[in-house]
Amino acid sequence: MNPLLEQFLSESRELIERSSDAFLSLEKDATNPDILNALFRYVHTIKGGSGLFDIEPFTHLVHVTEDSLSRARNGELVLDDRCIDVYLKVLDQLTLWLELLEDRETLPDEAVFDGKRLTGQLQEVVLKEKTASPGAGDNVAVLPVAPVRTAAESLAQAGLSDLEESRRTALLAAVHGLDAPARLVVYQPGENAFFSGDDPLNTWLHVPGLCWQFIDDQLEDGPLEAFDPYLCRMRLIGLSEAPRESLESALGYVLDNVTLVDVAPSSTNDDTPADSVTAGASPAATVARAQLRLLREAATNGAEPATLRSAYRIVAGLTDKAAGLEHLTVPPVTTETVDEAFLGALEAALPGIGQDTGQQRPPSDPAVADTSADMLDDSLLAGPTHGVRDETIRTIKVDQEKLEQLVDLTGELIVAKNSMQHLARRVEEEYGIKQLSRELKSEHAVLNRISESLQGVVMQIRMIPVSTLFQRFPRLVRDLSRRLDKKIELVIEGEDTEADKNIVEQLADPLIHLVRNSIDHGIELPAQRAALGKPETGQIRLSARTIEDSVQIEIRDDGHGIDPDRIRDKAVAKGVISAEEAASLNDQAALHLIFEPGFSTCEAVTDLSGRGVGMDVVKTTVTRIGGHIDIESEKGQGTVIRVTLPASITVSRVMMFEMDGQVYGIPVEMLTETIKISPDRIRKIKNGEAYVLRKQLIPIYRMSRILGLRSGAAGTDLSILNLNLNGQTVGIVVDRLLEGVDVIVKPMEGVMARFPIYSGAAVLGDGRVLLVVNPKEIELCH
Amino acid sequence: MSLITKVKVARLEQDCGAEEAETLLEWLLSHPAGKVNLKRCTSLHTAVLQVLLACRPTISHWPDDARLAQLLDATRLAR
Repeated sequence: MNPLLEQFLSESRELIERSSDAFLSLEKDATNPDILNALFRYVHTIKGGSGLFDIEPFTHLVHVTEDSLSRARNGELVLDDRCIDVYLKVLDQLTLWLELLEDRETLPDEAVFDGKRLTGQLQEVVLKEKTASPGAGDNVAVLPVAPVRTAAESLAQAGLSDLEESRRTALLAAVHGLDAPARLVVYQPGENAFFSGDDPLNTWLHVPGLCWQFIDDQLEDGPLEAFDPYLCRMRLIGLSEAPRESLESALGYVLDNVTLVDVAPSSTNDDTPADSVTAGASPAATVARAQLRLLREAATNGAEPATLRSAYRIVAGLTDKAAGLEHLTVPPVTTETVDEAFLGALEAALPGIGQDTGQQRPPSDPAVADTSADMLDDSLLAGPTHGVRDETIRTIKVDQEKLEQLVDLTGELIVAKNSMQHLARRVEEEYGIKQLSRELKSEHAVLNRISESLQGVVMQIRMIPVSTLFQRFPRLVRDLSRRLDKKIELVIEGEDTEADKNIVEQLADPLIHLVRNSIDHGIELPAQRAALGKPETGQIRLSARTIEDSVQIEIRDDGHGIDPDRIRDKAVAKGVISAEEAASLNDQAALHLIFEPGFSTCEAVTDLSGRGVGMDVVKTTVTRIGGHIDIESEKGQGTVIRVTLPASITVSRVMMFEMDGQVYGIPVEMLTETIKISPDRIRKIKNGEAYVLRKQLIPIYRMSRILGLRSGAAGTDLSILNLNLNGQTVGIVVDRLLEGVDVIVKPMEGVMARFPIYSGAAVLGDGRVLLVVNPKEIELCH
Repeated sequence: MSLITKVKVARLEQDCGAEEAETLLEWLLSHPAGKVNLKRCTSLHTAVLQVLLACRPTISHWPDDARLAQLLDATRLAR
């Protein structure tokens, strides 16, 4: 894909996400200028990016959105809930379009219609304008919308990329000479502006704070006889220090034809630290050359004192920062004449600036102007996208596949590292070279340390904050609560908590399901709540926190809670358990019944939380990624569901053992000790076997029976793995005990996925496949 | 009348509206060496400015009005 498009897609997605959040906050605080400003910026940036591609419906829709936001920002509109609904629909449409763009790099034909429909809604609901119905097609197409132009595009297309060299240089100088951020105003009246009573020049006279301006006639060369004075062919360009608001109000009537771009003076621009001037010498040389050129021009043609002053100021600034200019004596910045001696010195110093070798261009080279134009472009671009840029500079977006590859390679490295241990043992046992074996072992230790650090770093890269998961909930809660006529406040806590990307992603669906359940089944209707003496607005609290190596996500609502008796009745009625079983369950255990397959307590099946197929799927998913789910509920007070997950899928240490000539593994976390006992210590108790260890009777299970294998070691001492299963020590008899090893356990796939006794498989250093037994299943299998 | 045309000079005075553009254009077409005096001009309609920019006559006097002078300085007409 075109890298530009790729960047646009990822940037826009992020901005849409943020806009969505902002709209939701706006709902609570409709006139908050900070939110409105932020929103305007997001949408403006999206528009800027979209202008680079041939996606007219997209750009158009964003433009109308931006337009309406700008008016809301000026206090001309107040955005109510209905408006927010429309905006959110627009964001949904944009997201959809981005997906289509990613797939086929172009928008489908119907996008035009979708776009018109939404712009129609925006105009009707938000802008309160009467519009023709979307079906009327062409009528809607004639919207009072300007040709969309922003920094990049205004320069590339209608904008300033075609500006003549001298003006460009002057504008560049003016931008450099700025003391504070300013705005570049480009007013391009329509050809027929005069006929609608506009007098662009008169309008321009009212633009406040202009520190530089150029009225660019774009008249075509041709016989004067054919010249039509009533076709407007003007472009008015200015640099204004006035705030955006006053510019917008001064240009209010023609705002559609105006492009406003924030420009920051380069000297105070955070994006270009002083060091960069020294390091990359060519920008310094380019700037110096541009100034020299400007001064030369001024010397021959005469120039405004302001231009001279700014040129001097810029050169003075450069002498501090660029190598090769230190010795220059710059005339005081108040000088209003061209100092020839200084010009000579500056010209002489030019070739020596920084390390700019081999690419010296004579000042008359038109390419110089191009370079300065590029710099201007950059500084202009820095304006509207400022906030976004700051963040993207510090983060690198990497294709997830590459990251997966890195994880896999690190895993392979760890496995390969293990093979050195095998090698060392063979050297010692088979060849009897102890010295070499020792050296191999010490090399192994070094490699071990490095690969473990690498592993740590890689796993750290994979950690993402749960906020990526949480940020979809404000919207979900809002939409669902409105549909159900419930009043719900969502509180999010601990969204900075980090967990492995895979875990966070896999958690998305279960979490949505749980929150939906809280909305649908948990929180009561406002009237019911009022009758119960609760506040009308229910609360759902979504919080995440780190507990040792795990992440706990809690969904807490203050709804009517779950009645254990009702759960028991339902479970019996549905045949999930028998009446006796139900009676023997305590309340806590009864609550867990909701995670049983085929259980639903809601009388009315709604389209929100489905038919109760969800909770068991939630539990299965959570268990599959190595977590567990817990529920607490108090009738009338609310429900708390806690999902605890491992923070990362890391290398696990497993204890290896042999059965019937084949190696197996078991996670060391469950292992309490390994022991060898003589067979006569085993006591038969009923059908079971047990042995006594430290005055404690420990039941014995035979791994051969669990796995359905022949036992290869009869008559000799029994090798026993003592496991801690649910707080009880259990001995597992295996054929032979082997060493512990670090492996990356991959879940079983295909046919093997049906055997829960294996939690996964791993590849050993010597290439053998290790099946890892799931200790939790051992008890069930027995 | 804010446009007064003489043999060699066209004088633009005070507020020059859009309607003067055509007259000025005709005069400049018939007087290729004609000069334009803007001394007492206080505002120019964009169409009139376009005519000046298209024909580039010699400006005999620049406007006394500072704002207008500044504006014209920012065009290709500039001194």
